[in-house]
Amino acid sequence: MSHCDIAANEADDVRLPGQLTIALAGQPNVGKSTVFNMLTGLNQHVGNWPGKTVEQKTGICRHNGISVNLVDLPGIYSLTANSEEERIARDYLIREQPDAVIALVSAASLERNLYLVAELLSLQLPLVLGLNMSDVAEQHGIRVEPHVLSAALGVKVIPLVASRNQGVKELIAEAVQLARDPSDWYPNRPAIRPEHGPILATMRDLVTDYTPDHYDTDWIALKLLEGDNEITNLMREALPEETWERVHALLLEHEDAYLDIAGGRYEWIGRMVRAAVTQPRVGAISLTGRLDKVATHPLGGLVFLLGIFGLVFWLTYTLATPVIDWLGVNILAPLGEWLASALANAPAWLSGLAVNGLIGGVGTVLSFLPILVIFFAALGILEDVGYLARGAYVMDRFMHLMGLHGRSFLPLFLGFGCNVPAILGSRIIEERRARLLTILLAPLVPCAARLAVITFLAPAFFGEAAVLVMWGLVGLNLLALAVFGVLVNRVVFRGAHTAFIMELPLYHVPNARTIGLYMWNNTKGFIEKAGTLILLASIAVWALSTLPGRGVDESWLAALGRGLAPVGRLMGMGDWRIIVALLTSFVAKENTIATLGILYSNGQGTVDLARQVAVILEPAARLAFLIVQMMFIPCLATVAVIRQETVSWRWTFANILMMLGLSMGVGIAVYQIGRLL
Amino acid sequence: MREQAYEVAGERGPLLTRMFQLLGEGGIHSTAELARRLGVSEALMAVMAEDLARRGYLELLPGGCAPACDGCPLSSSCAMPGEPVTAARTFALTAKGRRVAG
Repeated sequence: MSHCDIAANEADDVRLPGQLTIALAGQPNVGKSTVFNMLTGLNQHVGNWPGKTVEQKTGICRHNGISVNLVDLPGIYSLTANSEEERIARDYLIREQPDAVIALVSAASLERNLYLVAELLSLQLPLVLGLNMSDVAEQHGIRVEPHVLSAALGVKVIPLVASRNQGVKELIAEAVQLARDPSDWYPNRPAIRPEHGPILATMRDLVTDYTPDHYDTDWIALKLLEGDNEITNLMREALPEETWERVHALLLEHEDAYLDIAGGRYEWIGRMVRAAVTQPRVGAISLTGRLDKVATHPLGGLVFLLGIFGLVFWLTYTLATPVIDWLGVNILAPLGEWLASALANAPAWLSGLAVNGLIGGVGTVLSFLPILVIFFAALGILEDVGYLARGAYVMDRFMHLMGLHGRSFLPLFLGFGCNVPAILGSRIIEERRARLLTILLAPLVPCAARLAVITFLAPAFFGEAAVLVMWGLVGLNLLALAVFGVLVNRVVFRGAHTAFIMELPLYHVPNARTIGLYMWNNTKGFIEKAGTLILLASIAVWALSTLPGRGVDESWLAALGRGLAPVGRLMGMGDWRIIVALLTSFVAKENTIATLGILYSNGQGTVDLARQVAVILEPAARLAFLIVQMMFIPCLATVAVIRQETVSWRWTFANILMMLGLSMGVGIAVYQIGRLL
Repeated sequence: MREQAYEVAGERGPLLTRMFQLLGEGGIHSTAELARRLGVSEALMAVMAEDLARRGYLELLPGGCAPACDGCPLSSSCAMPGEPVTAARTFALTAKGRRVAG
């Protein structure tokens, strides 16, 4: 019968004479405190470990008349002395040599917990294992067989649910029995490779006569090979200089020994888990595995990703187009008419500014808010479900195949929202050249504003084929990015490999609040931009299209447009208004639509704007126009951050010229080839 | 009960050596893919990546959101601000790791 009763508080010394001492070890959050409290009740002493600020808890527990001094070690992940807690636990176990150790582990994360057990076993202290939280594990579909685990480990495994006081008495009973008689305790320890066996033996021979008190020679030899800083320093002090030189030479020669020792521990954990854990493939884990067979397949995953993007575009334009038309007919047109009549007696310039500049420009841009809301809702759902991480994974594999430096993918992926954070995000790349190149490539990632512009125009330009065209446009940008990446990789990085390990989250049901927050964060920026940059640019475009007052066709803007018309004609854009619309996208990408709204709609909002533009362009020119829009020089905000992040006007202008040349080159090629077909 | 702190292992190639060989191919690997190729569970693969990151063979990229959003250069423009659990963790091979991967 085990019971704990109130006794004199005598735990100032960790080890008391005439008692068994048992240490309670485990990672944080495995229920160690619960077990300790149940075993010691009120009979605890809480202080600090000598000379440390870490809390020390000791207590007395009586089992079958035997007084047990229970020492609750700090929660630790390993015995590598990475933290104060790990140093305290390690020093205590080595110096005080408790009669037994209870290693408490969580059945829900056995792999993580067994690493500590592997290290504890190497200390040669008798150990029993408390397998806690089986209830939590079963909720995750994980079942651990305690008797199988016990057979595999060669140590007693006691299942318990500490929160319900189940199994705690059995645990202390087993620990007491082992502490009193550890003679037939033969655990299965992790192994090291045969080729390192002689090295370990040599190390042991070198240090055996100089092993400090309390320390085990085998353990010291092992820790030296593992590269343990504290033990290395300890032995440097303890060994004669000549012996240390030999130890040091051996360590230098076998730097890879750590990988063997740690690898041995992992293999050991793998064997234990394979033997004792059954993990029925149910719920989220099974679903994730099945979906990932497709979603992360090198080729199938790419097709799946393109399919998902196609679906997002289709959904966006199918749902948003009727709303935009409705807004144009029922809000913008009546608002324009109302403003025109309200300002009938006002000066002509004021009426023109309000109706053509504001309604035609800012109003038209605001009317494609539904595109962005639906687009960001779709992206938000994909992110929250856990798919976007797979998209990034598949894209990166693809980009890597194309030779692009892998580390750039995280910031580049952000570019789909906006190029500005993509360029700022390149700060995660430490290597200066890689960072610079990522910055210069980022404008090739089509941002949401550009996607919104093509979503606005493509249905009118290409009807049923709009989704395919949008798909192709995004693909073309990414292809250009990959081609530049290959060049950059070959020329600058000379094909250097970088490897990554990505831990993909489980798929799960999306959360409405998270998606709402995501949509709000992204559309808020767009509305702010409409109220500032786009508003100012619309006013400027309206003013330039009005001055010097002889009508739009005689305006300064028309003169500028006609000056650029020869270039425009090479792409089938003979109408100066088209080329001017593209030019104003430098202020903000949405300005293409604002400018078209001002120059074409004549204050009638977005009603049929896209179709009006479609009418004046041949099909090949429509495609060239969308391509140029997608690849044109970066917007003002992007240029500003390129300058800020590269700290170089030279690179900033180089990027502008690169994008200008690329967009014009591809635009001209597509139009000229398209005409021949 | 007294015996060596470590036993000498059997026949298969060292686990971490095989893992670094796979990383030596370059590119991006998911924990699931590496776990499958190495014959270990995905949970163990994640533990290995964390441990190797602590020892300097791998580096947890800030964009991977592992600890939190604080100090992350991407946090101001992150898709899911304040929701690090939804994001994937990414570990990159360091110079020390590359020496092993060959």
